[in-house]
Amino acid sequence: MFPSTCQRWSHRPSRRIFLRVGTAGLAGLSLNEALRLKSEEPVAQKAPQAANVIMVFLTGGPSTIDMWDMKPDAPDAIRGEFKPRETSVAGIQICEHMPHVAQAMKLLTLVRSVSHTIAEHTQGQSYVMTGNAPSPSVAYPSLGSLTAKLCGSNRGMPAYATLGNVPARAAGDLGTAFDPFAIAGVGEQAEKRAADTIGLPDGFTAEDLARRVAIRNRIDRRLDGASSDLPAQLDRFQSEAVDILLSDKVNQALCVEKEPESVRDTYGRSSFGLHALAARRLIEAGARFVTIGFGDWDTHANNFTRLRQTLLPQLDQGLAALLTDLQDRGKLDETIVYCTGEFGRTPGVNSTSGRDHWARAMTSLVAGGGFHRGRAYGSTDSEGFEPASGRCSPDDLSATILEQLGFPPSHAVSTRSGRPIPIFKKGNPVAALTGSGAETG
Amino acid sequence: MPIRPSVIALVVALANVAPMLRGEERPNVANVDFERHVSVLFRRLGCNAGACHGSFEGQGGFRLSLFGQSPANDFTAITGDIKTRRVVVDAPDESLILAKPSQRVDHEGGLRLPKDSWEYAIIRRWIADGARYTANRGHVHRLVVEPASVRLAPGDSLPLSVVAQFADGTSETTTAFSEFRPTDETVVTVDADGRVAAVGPGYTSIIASYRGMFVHASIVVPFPPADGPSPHLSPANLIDEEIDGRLDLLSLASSPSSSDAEFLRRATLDVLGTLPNVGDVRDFLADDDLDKRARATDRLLAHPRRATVWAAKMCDVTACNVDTMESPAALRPKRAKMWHDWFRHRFAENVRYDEIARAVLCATSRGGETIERWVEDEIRRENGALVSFESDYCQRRELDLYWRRIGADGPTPIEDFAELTASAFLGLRLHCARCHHHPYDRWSQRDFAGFAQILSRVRFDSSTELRSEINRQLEIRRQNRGSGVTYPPLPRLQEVYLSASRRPLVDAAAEASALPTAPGGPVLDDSSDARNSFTDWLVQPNNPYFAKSFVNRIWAKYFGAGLVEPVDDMSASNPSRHPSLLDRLAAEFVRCGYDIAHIERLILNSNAYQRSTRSVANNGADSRAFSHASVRPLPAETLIDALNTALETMDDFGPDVPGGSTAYDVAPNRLNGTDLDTVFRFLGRPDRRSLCDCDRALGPSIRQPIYLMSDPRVIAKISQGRLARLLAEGSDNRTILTELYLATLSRFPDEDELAYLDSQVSAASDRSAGFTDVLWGIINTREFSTNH
Repeated sequence: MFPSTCQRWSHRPSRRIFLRVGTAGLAGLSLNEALRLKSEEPVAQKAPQAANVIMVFLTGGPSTIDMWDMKPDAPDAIRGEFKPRETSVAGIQICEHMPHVAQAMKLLTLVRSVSHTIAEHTQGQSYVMTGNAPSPSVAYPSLGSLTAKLCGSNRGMPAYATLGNVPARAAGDLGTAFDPFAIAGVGEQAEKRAADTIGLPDGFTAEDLARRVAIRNRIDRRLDGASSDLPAQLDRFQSEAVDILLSDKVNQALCVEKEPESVRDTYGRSSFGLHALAARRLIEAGARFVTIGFGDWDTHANNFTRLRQTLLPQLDQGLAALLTDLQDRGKLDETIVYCTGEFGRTPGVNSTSGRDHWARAMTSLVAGGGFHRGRAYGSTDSEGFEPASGRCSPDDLSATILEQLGFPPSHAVSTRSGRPIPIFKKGNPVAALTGSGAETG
Repeated sequence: MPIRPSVIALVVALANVAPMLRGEERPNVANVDFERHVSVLFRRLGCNAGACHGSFEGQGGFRLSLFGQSPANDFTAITGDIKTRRVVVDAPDESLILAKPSQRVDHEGGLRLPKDSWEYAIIRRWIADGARYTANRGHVHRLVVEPASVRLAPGDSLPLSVVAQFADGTSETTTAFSEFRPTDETVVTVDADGRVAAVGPGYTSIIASYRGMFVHASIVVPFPPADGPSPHLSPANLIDEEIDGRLDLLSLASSPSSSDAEFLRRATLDVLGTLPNVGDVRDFLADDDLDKRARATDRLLAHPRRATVWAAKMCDVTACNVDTMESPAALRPKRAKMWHDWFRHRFAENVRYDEIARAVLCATSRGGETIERWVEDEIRRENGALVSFESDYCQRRELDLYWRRIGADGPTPIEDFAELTASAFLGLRLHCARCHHHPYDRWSQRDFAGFAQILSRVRFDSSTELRSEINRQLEIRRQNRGSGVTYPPLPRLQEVYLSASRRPLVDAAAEASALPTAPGGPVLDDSSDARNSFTDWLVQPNNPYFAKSFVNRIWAKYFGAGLVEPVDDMSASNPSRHPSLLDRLAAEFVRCGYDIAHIERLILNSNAYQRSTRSVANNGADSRAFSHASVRPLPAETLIDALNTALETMDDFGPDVPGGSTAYDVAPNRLNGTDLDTVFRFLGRPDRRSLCDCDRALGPSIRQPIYLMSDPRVIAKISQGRLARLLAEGSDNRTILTELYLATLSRFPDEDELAYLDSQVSAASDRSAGFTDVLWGIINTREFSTNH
């Protein structure tokens, strides 16, 4: 029913069982949705340009006006304490405290004209993580859950994993089967990782597992006739769990200490650095979508001190290392890196040297997977209040990413209840950000 | 039973209702009023959405209040400055509020209001009539939708009509000015004009809203009837009367009762949060008394473990969070234990729910004691907590810990307390109304502020009296220095007390002039403690939230989901799955004196609870009408405790809890020094960081099977505990297998299972290894890891 265009990246056919879309569900579409689904049908889908996504979610709302879209000529009350610096791309300046990303600028695109209206954490996080404005009638899936559903998993690896504390990461109405494989954290030392080690414990061999699973399968029959979704869902989890345990790939991927010291130094030994490195290893092991939750960017007070001392150094080193490393290993072409928070922060600095919530203008960062490199797309007005050109929304960026994976916004997925929903209700891909699009802004 | 949509009655009811509104057809409006007709069209047309003119700085220099919450401001914005030409009475069509959205003049928001639309005509008429405004003329007293409930066959459609009764005593059909939203589009869809179309079988609601008021119409679309009769069991109590009535409307058959073994396992997991003992299973299955399920229910409800499970639940509900507790850090897990114990003690005594609620809501630290006495007790408690988990805190009348919270940057904002209290005790999520009119419920920011003001005199710090008492204590210690008398160390004390002055509101500062007001209720007496007057209002028998929200939580404990879900979102736009059942349960709860165990007993004794998970006749497609039981995931704590009960093992939850604790005994929301904190997290135990009961992960994740299959502790436990004991006792294979089944699946193995597993054990090189394989297999069945 839904041709899986990311199939060519799969090592094997997906084991997913697509839910049947009943006529009831189809008729349940609003006229608008139905027309939109129909109108897209004959249009040839764009071939997939990317296979994987690493999302870096800056929880709390990063002050992007101090990071990616500085206003050195604005009045003191807006400009803030930081100065811009040149980057590896002529004409693009970013914050002085991000020297590594400045160096890696030629690999990425800054989208300086992202704008929306939900300046509240929970709803804003849900919005940006799903690419759909929160709705009382649909619990939209996170982008990772959506990708897991659409692209399936590679054997022995969960399709969608999260590292650290990631808000709004769940699958919503797609059902918990597409919730992320949540990894609480990757520690510096092996012993600190114990709880997150995924694999068979010492003395428990693959043969033991196979023998025991055979016994389990023989006796686990009593719920076969029950009329609930849960048994079938657990069945799917169990067989995936066996794959993951037998392959030990997750565990291996999380062993960041296997990387050469030089690589680890490049990423930095901060928790974000460790997670960025683990994300790269998870993707290489076959995960499709990894989201890293990082920080507390809700800098209502002491914005500049907190950015300068803790937040920016970690982000700068880890993010630049991730991009450069992916590029060096030839993985950046097929791996999208998307770094964003739920909103930006007010251009005006408040009385406690902080900035408050501001959703009407913020910068997000995209790289790899067919996105242009070394560009700044869109712009904001002279004081950073509103986009001045290239206005786009989180929906649009999300739609662009999924289109790079091969799925137009009108593509329908069915919820647990069999209701088809277009993956993005309002998002339209921003053509100018990707390979074939003409550059504007 | 026959399917006959009760359309005839409807046609009568709808005779005087506005027809479908399309093209030239117009709603019949005698006098166009700004609030009743014009301002609501701004909402329907999307003009005052947050993304457009509803943004706090407007759009293109023109600002409307978000969702039209303030018509007076909107009127001023439109007519206040004649130079803007937003309204031109002499030449209505030149008014920019018509010319722009109809795109005769450039409009960034595009075409919103075609010139030939009835909406255009309405707004034009208002302008031509002089663009007048009468404040509060559109204040809605009550909103009615007709029909309020209806049964439709698939394929049928039907127009809804909405009537607003205004505060000035007049009423008017406002269908054309209302918005409609379906709650389950697989059952019924609805268009913008309120016409519903039945799509598939089920029970659902359509939400209609007008001027910030919400009302719902209940719609039943029956299932294709079953072949042959399938009578229900005779109702055990009011629950079955209500549910069977619904099943009949839906033409659904009901599944037969579960087996005795299934019942005992299900009820024990739900009430005690763990598995029944082997002995209890054997006794229960051997008992041939017809009344044995009711007797087992009574035994479970009297079990001390029931109170432990409830205490953990109440710690979730009231957000017992060590990260918001006062210093020193070492005492925080102890305070969490006091909190847990306080609730456990009350549930063990089956204290009336209204009394429990009052003792939380109105708590102060002194709780009526003198300052000297309280300080003395508190010094003893604080010093005792440094060395022990034991405390007499649960003997306190009031739970002052609920108010002893510290925010990240100072005192916890009043608004946080208001939001949490609404979620915990009213089942309302008022979060949105902190900053603006609630988009899906009746609550305005002023309502929120009024509610917050009830709590705004509550302080948690060092009061003047406390400071002088501490000074007195210091003075005593100073005077007796060297006298040989020893005094306990004086910890840093703060107290919860009622201050004469209010703390300022932050998010809702604009409405800070609101008087203390119960949500949807009266302005409250604030001469002593407004929390007392609030609680008096709350526990009145006819309170719309109090009893309902708690019986809904009880229901959720036994059915895996509330009749209203999420359980703390009892908003007008989130109707109950079974409104009349919720009403009757709430009435029963009030009638019996807020006796929690009584409601639990009704549920456990009902046919609806005891049904099999297997479908019969046509009920396989139903998942919401309680025609059969559902297979439910186990909560994190239940899974861990069930595993330990089954395997005769224990877990070590680290230094933050006393040794010997089970998962439900764990009071803190997070644990230090143990990997089990991570296990709790991925199994879905809530971290209680939100101001609502919404942190528990619903449904299993892939981490659960991975945990049961490979966690080193689980693997070690399988071969220790019960299995090691049975092997040491030298029992034969079949005896051991039978006990393992009783311990894990709470049933006897059948002959096929026994024969197969016996052969597996016999074939193994080592008997112990063979049994380890088998027991691993059993705990990894879905039959073990679910409640069914």
